[in-house]
Amino acid sequence: MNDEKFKWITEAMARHERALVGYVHGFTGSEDQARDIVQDAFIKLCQKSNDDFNGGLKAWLYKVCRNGALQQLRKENRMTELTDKTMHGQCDQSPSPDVSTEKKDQYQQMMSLIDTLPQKQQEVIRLKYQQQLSYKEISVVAGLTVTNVGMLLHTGLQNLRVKMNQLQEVVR
Amino acid sequence: MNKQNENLRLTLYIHGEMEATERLAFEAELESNPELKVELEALQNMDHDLNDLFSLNTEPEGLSSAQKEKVLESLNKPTPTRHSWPFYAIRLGSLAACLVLILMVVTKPEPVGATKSTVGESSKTLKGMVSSESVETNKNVQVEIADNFEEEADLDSVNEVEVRTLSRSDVKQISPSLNAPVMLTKDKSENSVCGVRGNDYKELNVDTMPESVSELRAFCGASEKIKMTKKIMVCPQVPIHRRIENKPNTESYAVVNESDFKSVGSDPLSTFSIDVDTASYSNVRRMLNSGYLPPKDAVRIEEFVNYFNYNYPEPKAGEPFSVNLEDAVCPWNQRHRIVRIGINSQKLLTENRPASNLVFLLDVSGSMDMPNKLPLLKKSMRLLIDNLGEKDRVAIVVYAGASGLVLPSTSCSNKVEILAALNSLSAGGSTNGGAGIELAYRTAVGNFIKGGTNRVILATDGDFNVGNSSRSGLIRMIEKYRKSGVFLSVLGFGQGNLKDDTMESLANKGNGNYAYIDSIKEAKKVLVNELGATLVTVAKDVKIQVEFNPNFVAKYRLIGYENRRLNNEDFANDKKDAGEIGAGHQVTALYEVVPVTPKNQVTKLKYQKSGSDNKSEILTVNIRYKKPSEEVSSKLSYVLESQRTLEIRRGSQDLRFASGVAAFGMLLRDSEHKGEINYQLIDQLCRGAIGKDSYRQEFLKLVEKAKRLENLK
Repeated sequence: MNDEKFKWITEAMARHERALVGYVHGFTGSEDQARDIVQDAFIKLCQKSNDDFNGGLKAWLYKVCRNGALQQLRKENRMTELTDKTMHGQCDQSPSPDVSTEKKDQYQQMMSLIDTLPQKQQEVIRLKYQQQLSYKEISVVAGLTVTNVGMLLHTGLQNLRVKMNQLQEVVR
Repeated sequence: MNKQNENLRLTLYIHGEMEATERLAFEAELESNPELKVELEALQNMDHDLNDLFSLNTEPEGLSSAQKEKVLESLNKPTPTRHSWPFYAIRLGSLAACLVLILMVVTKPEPVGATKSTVGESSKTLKGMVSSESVETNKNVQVEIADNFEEEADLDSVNEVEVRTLSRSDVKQISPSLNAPVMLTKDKSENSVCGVRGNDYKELNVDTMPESVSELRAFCGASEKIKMTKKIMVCPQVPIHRRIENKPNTESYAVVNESDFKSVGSDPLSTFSIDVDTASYSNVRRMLNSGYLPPKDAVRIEEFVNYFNYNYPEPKAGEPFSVNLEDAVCPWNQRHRIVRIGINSQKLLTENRPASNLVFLLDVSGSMDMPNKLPLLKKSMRLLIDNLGEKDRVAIVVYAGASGLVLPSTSCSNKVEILAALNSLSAGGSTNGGAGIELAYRTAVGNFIKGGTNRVILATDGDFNVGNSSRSGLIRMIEKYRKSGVFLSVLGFGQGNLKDDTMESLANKGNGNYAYIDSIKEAKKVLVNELGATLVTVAKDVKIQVEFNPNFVAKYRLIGYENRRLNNEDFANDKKDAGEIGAGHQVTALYEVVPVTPKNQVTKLKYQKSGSDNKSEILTVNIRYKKPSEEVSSKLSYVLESQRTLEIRRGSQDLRFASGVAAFGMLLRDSEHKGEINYQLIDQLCRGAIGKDSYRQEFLKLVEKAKRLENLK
């Protein structure tokens, strides 16, 4: 039995660890801290068995990591600090070079507009597009109903579109 | 079906979240409804963009092998019982202490199915974690909140809670615990409230969080008045994440710490190096034109102010520059004054320009392969070459993975050859700026023209990513060559990757200037109209020291020049490097000055030099400079006499415009000294000071643009 579980955990780690570290990094701003939180999530996973999940493993991992990240932030009293938007700083990741300049500018605009959306909408957009989760999975992670996820995404996208259009007018 | 629901279905459709039957029906409807189809396409485009946007970032490294081992080790340990909340409370120690007991509940939960109500209503959420500003409340949501939870912050007490509606001011009241994760609830669809009540711990972990208000009520004891202790925990509201991780952008800017007011009593001298750079302005212009507000540290106010031309008098014969002083009431603080120091250097007629030995050091790495980088760079260089004469020489060094001499130093009588070499360049490979700079300097030294202009012109997006690329290493090398009499100009190109901080410090250390080229128009300004200034240095190591008269000035603040400040003793130290001024360059510095009033008068120390009781002079400006080929400095002094305090609107056009530009910079930086600055004030200051200057006209448009972007936020 242990062999089987060993394999299950190893596979789960290989499959999800990087995406999870990236996800938690978005909260904590520190990759090392993110890795600690992800590690804890997998340790928790070790106390579970494959049968507990029924396909919901991914969402469960995100949810545990999300809670871990938020606890970490609270512990450090950083909730308010995080509302200061730092526009630049510790980012070493290079964007892929084959994206055209205009597109990049447009992305930058979009990113800064996403920042202006209500937090819930921001979160579902991030879970949907950055983490590529399904509505069902998002609902588990963020503690919403599936219907609610749909509506938040819908409202978020509509808001974003209106803002993009306003911006185009300003730029023009 | 109303429009909102229709759009909601579109979202579900593009996300593939529709049931098969519904999907088929919807697709049929799409065929017959062209309007809906247009909507769908617009939404699909945005969906693609969002997918691309987030896929730009590479994923970080996963767990380390030690961490993985630790995870797998835990497999062998006996499975502990499930962690209950008390466990977490203990484990989190200090966290538990700061958890505040507060619980808000929807008093009138909607019947199941309420989620089908209209979108607008259902997504109303009370945002929490006692952060003052982010609370939204609406009439549908009534909440209960601990009135005096601070006193009750005793772990074991259980308190009755008063029912009332949470309002903005309530949240302000409880803001002493600003960082405490106060609980929040939920929208009408009553779905994401989670909570636990203090004393009756029920096991509540991620698997068993209550799904609804009614479940929460079951936890908490189903009454309108809910008992609670500080251990109530919540489904956390998402904090605003640090956005930076998501940004497809690796531009970097050095932090600028704004200078503060200094007291004339303790600091009567203010010393700084001049700065003729203008890159910050054109870079910020590019950002505003692309529709976003610049990061704070991309704004260097002195570079904004110095971007523009001012109507300063020509220098007297024998002096390399003229100095011109003016003061008026400070536009953003009526009790202060603004003082302008304007320096104007001798313009140079083309025929008088000394022979030039130029080495173009061009970045042809992969990152330059964009329409506004290498192609613009080539066009810019062509403009420059067009304006060179027969006595000038040009060499071209390129650098990417390897660096190489594309064109040995060639006389401009042979422009065809130079242009052919320039045209043949293409981008590819990574960047080793270090080796390239070394080769360029060696080429310049090898073709040195005595008494002429010897200059390396570095054009890059600043991405030095291979080899000797530590900033300090590069700087040491540049300092080494500076002594050989070869100066450096840096031209920045492109965006998304601009290493603004590296480029500025390279130019500073290399006795050079730094300009940012965002368009062919800007290339023309820098390389044609201001060719003299860019190429011919009329004075080097130019330092300014202002001495304030304590009888007149109580405090002062230099606006901008944060990274140009010098120690007072460096003023007379000829070994200390400072900024260069080119032919036709203008430099403007602004001081915000607090005049002496009976209240803020500095008590004179007994042993300080008593000085004079001079009350007619506000300040004296001392300037030290060296001629380009000399190592000993000369000094010039100028005095600003106090007159009747002038209102700003009676000040010169140059003063009004320069203070308007500085004000714009302070507003973009969200400066703590911005006082009464707003977009209207900037417009008022500048509008009457434009004349026929197209750059000033453009500035007004840019201010308007920033204002609208600000309003969008």
